Amino acid sequence: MVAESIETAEKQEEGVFILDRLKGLATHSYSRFVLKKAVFYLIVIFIALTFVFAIPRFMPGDPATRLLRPPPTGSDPARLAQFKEIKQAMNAYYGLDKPLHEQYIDFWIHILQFDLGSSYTYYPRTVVEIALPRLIYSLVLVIPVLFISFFLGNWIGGRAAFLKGRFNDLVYLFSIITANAPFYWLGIIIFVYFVTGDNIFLSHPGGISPDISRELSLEFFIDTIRHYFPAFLTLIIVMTGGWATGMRAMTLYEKESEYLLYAKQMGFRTRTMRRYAQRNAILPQFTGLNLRLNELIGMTIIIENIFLWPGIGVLAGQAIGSQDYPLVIGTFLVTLVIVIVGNFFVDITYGFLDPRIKTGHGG
Amino acid sequence: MFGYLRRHQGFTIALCLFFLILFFGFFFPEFRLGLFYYKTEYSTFGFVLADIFPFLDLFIEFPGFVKDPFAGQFDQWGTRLIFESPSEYLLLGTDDYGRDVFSQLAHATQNSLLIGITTSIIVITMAIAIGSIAAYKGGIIDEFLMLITNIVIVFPVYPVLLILAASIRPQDRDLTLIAIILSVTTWPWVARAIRSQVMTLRERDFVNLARVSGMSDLRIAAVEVLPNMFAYLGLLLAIVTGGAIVAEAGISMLGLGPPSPPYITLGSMLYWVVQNESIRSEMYWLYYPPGIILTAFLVILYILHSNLDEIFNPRLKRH
Repeated sequence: MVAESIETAEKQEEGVFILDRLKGLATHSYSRFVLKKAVFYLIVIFIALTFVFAIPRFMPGDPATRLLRPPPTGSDPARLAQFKEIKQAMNAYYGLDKPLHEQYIDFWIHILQFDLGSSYTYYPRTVVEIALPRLIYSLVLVIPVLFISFFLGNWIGGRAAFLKGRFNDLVYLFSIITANAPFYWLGIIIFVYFVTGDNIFLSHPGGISPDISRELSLEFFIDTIRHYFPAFLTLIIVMTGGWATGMRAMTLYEKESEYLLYAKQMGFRTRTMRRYAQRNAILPQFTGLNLRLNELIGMTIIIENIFLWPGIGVLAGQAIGSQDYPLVIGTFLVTLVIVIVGNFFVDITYGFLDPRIKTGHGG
Repeated sequence: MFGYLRRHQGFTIALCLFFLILFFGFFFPEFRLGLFYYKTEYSTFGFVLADIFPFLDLFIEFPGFVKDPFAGQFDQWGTRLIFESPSEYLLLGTDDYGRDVFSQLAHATQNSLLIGITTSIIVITMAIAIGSIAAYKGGIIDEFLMLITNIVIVFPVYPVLLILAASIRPQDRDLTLIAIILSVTTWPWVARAIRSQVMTLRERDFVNLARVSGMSDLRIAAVEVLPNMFAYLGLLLAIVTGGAIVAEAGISMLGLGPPSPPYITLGSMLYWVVQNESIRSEMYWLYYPPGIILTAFLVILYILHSNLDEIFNPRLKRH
């Protein structure tokens, strides 16, 4: 009896303990911040998916008219009747003859099961099946570029702000040009110079030379790197330029703040002052990281088409060219998911790093 | 709309002059305000360069100089001149179909510029409406509009353009529609910028005076707040034009731009260069010209932007 009552007492204590933790979680400013962001992004996904649902249904025409050529009006009534049958069959297959709200519910059921339909050109392979391997190729391009350009660009920008005179202006000029030359143009230049000209880098559809076998050998690895590098180089140059310009401006602004002016008067070493300035100047860069990530993903899509690196971009180009509608939608959704997940992680990291959010005084 | 411009070349000249005056109009307010630290080297350089571009369009006026960009060039024996290198008659050579690249460039610059200007006009109009309402009314309207703006900002630009442009059949796409599609993806950050400007202006004495004297909100916004923002709006116009031109070329690289036979833009030229694998060849006249024009245009806009940015944010002054 005593043992039982002790047990129940312990359980009650535990229950209270858990409730306390939950309450702590709900009121703590950082977790509130994370929740707010999560809700925001879920709204975005919802709107995007509704958008994806709405567009084909509000465009003129139906699947039969879009995919096949309808017989002209003056022809044989038998042909017209046949086409009408085909049209009705296709509408039934795509569920377009049901009322709109039913279609919407069906749409959501499919989406939640990650079923995006089958592509027209690669029938009967599903869109998800086709898109996922391509996604890996794209991520291999996006993620390293993001990290390396962020650290490299901010490092250059931070240093440049403390350089005297001519170097400063030189870095400024260089970063303007690299950040503002249209990236596809830079890609074409690099292609011409390195692929066509020097042959150091290669570009073949599929991402490797046709005569190399896909096994884990050194040859395969080097060949893949040679195919990978031009796209990587283009993206790095453009992104680093962008970060360097921003960081330089922020650090220059930071240099004017009182504590650094005072430190300069006190005779601090440039290195120490730079470290202090960089630490404060880098925080706004994180807010820009979101938009840059979106930019980067857009750029990657286009750059892949130039260098024929088999990622989502090439898939998108193919899908548009062959009017393969489910595939277009699929690439859009996959890209959107990457963007949202990336943005969400950046937001969380920013919340973690900015001390004002953790203490609830900012954010 | 663009057919009209094509037929009435005089109107196109007037449009270019308007663009000229727009750029020129940036600089008078600054001199009037006596901003003596205003660096003349970069900005006048940028100003001068910015005026050259509209004049490229004037080349279309000289029929002998600029030929039809879609017609193959033939020599006197009727052979199609494919992949000719630049010569006296064909200033930039010909492409894979024998079309004169220089004429393509002239027409492409004009079309790209028209798309850019149209987009910026649409974007500025939308952004003024949304930004100033949000900033002026404040409160829940502000929050709601900012929520919408944030949602649209999060959408990655190129995939959205992908979907929009892919849903519209190639025959239906013309320059105005491309401009509309581009403006849908660009307006959020412009609305934000305008909103912050209006918010700073809202606290000024003359606005408070107007409010006290019973002017309606709309009147205050139109008569008091907006005219003070004209310089900033001009700057935004320039930036959005540049951004739109680059974005249009970007979607053309995927094949989503205006269809090539009736319309040609700088992006289409680059698209064909990649499609035909001409970049694998040594024919520099095919892939350098559109890119050089694009880069030059962007650099000019950036110089203008950063100089005017120094005026609006004096903290970023270079010493």
